[in-house]
Amino acid sequence: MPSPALIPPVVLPPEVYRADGLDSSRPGLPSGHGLLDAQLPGGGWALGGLNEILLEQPGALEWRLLTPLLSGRRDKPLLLIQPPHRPHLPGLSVGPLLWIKPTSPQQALWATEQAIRSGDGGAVLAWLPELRDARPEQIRRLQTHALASHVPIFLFRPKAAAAQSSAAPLRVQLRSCGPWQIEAHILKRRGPMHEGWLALDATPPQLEALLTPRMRAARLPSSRPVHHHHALARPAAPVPVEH
Amino acid sequence: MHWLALQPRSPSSTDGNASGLLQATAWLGLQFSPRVAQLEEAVVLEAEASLRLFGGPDRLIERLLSSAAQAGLSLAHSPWASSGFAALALLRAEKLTVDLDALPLTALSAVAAHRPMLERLGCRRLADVRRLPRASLARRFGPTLLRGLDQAYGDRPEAHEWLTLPEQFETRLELPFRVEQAPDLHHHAQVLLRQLCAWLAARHAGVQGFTLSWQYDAMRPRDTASSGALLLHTAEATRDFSHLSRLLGEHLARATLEAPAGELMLKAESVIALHETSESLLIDPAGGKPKEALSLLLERLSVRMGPEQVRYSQLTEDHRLDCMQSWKAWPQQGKTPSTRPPPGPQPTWLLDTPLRLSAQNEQPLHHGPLLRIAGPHRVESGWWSEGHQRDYYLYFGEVCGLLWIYHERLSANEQGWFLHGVFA
Repeated sequence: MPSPALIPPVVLPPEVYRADGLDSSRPGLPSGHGLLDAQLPGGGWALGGLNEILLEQPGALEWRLLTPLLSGRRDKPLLLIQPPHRPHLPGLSVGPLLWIKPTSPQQALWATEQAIRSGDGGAVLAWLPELRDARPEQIRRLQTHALASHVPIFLFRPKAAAAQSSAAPLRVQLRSCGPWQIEAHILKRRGPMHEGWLALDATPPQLEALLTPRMRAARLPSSRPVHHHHALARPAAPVPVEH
Repeated sequence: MHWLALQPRSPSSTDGNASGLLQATAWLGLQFSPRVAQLEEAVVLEAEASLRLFGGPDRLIERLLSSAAQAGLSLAHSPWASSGFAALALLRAEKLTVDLDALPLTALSAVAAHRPMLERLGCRRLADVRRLPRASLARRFGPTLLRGLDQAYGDRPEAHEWLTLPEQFETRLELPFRVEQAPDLHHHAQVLLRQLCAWLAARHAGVQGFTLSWQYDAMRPRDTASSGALLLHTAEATRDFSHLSRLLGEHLARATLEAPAGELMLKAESVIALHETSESLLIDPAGGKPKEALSLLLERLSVRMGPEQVRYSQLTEDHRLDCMQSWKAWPQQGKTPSTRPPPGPQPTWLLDTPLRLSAQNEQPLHHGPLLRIAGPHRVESGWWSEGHQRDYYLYFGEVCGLLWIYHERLSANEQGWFLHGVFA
């Protein structure tokens, strides 16, 4: 048997990545948040796949996360499927919007599928606010169509969906941390497991001019401590052994 | 002379709509030459004068077939021949040669009429008939046989009644049986749609609206109308058969017939000249071409979900948050007026109706206590209609994020806090 040193280094095809590194075979779309890009495979949001974003409350953080990406894609209209509120164009620094307002969850899924299959438009943003709106096999169906797509696709789903399996190659959980920061945890990516939360600076661009240093320092008295640790990153407590 | 004979391959042989498809074929041919005529069961086209324009005989056939495919027609064509009758004979014999002599007697109608007698004389091919003495042939079979032969071989001029294109498109189809379900009309309406697409191709135009109407059977309940109609609009002018057919299918799927229908009519409402655009020479940096244009997608969505469910926004210059933009049903009518950006910060979401918040110690509450970050921003406008005077504040809540909340005096001794927008 040859010793391990004699085995020639294996040249892997570009689609195969090592489990301790990120899959960089497919370039991503830079998200505009440097900390996040460093942790995403391909250096940004996935193209040719679903980007699933899990939120505690729909309609609180989406634009702050996505505006850096979307403001660069102004030439084609963005498709907003079932947004939680009325989009207010004067406050958004993005291109033209199309607001698609399905009347039932089935229609929302159908419209999302059609939008993904069409492959036109600047981006597809779909909100599926209830856990029961989309079953895992329906997400898989969307993902199958997304494989051939050349536009970024974002699905916004509730936090409870984290417990379900999903075919989306990239899943990111978001929460707010004070008024000017959002925290992101990557639940699933083509690469090693992500631990802890990434604190991203995200001041709404419309408020930049308005804020003074004193306003930036404002905190709710009962606000969460700034440093969080993901449960998995915590050192395991020694289990008392009973004799 | 360059003659071509064309015949539509019928999608199913049982259809009684061959004449409609033949007419569609003739209209398609009118794109390439004004000399198009119907000759028995086929359409003949003389394209000597337009060969150079369309890049030679092979390119012309290629373009004709691709334009037929766009109109949903599948065409059989003959090789180029020196006369219309010869082209028809070659089409019937399904031969790729241009040798008329080798064709069987059935290829020419004038000869086929006397086939039993000619076969008894030992003639199997057209060459055998031509070898017989002309004078005796004329005496025995009459002048039509010789005339047909001479016209096919180009020895005698042929006269055709050239077809012209109608100015308006309006055509009808008697259904072979009574149809009771609206979706079943789709199959029959496709014949009319093929004709429409061929007519549009000949006019170098696209359609933006058309009406499909149907006549109800005479034996119907007394209180139902005599006919029904469906008016369809496309977002962009088009003459793509598959697009129009899919759109019609979506509409018919949600239509109902009050009585069995016996006749279909199709009328083009707004016909617009189509300009062909060149493909880009450079490779698209985005990587791929979309599989389907956005307008087709939105059209399908708005048919299935209702026209009010697909919206675009139009900005207007106003200081009031609710009046800055209006969402309208797609497709967009007219151009977007350019507007200046409104002063002051603007939220990214707006609530449809402001939500009244409860207050504690002069501070609003929403999912727990809120922290005031900035404000007030006074917005006072609209004295000419429903005016208001509102002080906007930026609040932060642990659960709901950055909120745009206003304080308004409702009456002399009542005031309230309202949530109006979210900075997401």
